[in-house]
Amino acid sequence: MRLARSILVAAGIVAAACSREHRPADADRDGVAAGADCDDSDPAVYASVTAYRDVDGDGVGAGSGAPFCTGGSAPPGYALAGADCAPDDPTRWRLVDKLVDLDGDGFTYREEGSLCTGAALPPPYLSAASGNDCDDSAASLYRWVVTYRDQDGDGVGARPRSISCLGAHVPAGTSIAGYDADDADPAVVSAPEPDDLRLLLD
Amino acid sequence: MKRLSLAAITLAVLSLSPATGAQTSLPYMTVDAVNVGTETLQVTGIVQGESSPSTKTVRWTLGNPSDTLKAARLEACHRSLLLALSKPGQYVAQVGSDCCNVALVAP
Repeated sequence: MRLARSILVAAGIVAAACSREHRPADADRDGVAAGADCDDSDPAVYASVTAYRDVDGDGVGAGSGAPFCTGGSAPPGYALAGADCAPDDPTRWRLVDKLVDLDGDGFTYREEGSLCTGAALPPPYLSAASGNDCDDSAASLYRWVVTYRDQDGDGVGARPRSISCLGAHVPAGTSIAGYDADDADPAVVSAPEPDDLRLLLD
Repeated sequence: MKRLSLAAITLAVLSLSPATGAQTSLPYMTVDAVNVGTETLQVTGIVQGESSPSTKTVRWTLGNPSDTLKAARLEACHRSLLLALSKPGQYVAQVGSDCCNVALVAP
């Protein structure tokens, strides 16, 4: 035995065999090694995937996922994505926030809950939030505004304040500014800058 | 003119946030009360888009507690919020975990 090995070594056969590049086994020759191939006897399949039953054929399945050995895609009747919110309706499959714009002014408010929908949202829902519409039944009212009564009409009001649902403009006799030192005298608009600001500027 | 100059200087001094800040900050249209601690900011006021005042507390994440710059920033933050408090409707205060500044309300 030792003699035979010596002969083989002398002939370079053993040395040649040891220097060959090691390649992992790939019985089905699909390019995926046996250890990573979920079925090394079939070159058509090699990847383990979790797929979900897709009854309505919209590309999103539902229920618990099941493991499959495939060529990378889901088997017929299944989808790689799950959580279809309407498993029997091919036009709906995803949940989105309910951003409503009933009055069509472009400003939305958020309804409770989620909406099950497809690629496009049905009216009056929008895909992106815009503002926080305080009155979605009137297009001219869409924002909460803090206003102060401006009795002397100098553009600066004073407390008390109110928070109103308004549009682009504030009502006459009110102002968004609320620091009038004397709201009975239009010549007085603002109190002197507070000590705090003077300290800041020193 | 005087008011504009003061405002411009004020904004320059009070812009404390780093370039990456304001990711989770809230714009306060009014500031009713301010409580600045060593690690937290508590602001009571009306956040833009909301219909009533609320009190929110954010943890100040900029710098470490022993950082003197952090203390200076907190002090400046406190002053800026007091400024917004004293002149309701003139400034909007932006407050977040890593920023605190005021800006003139657009006319």
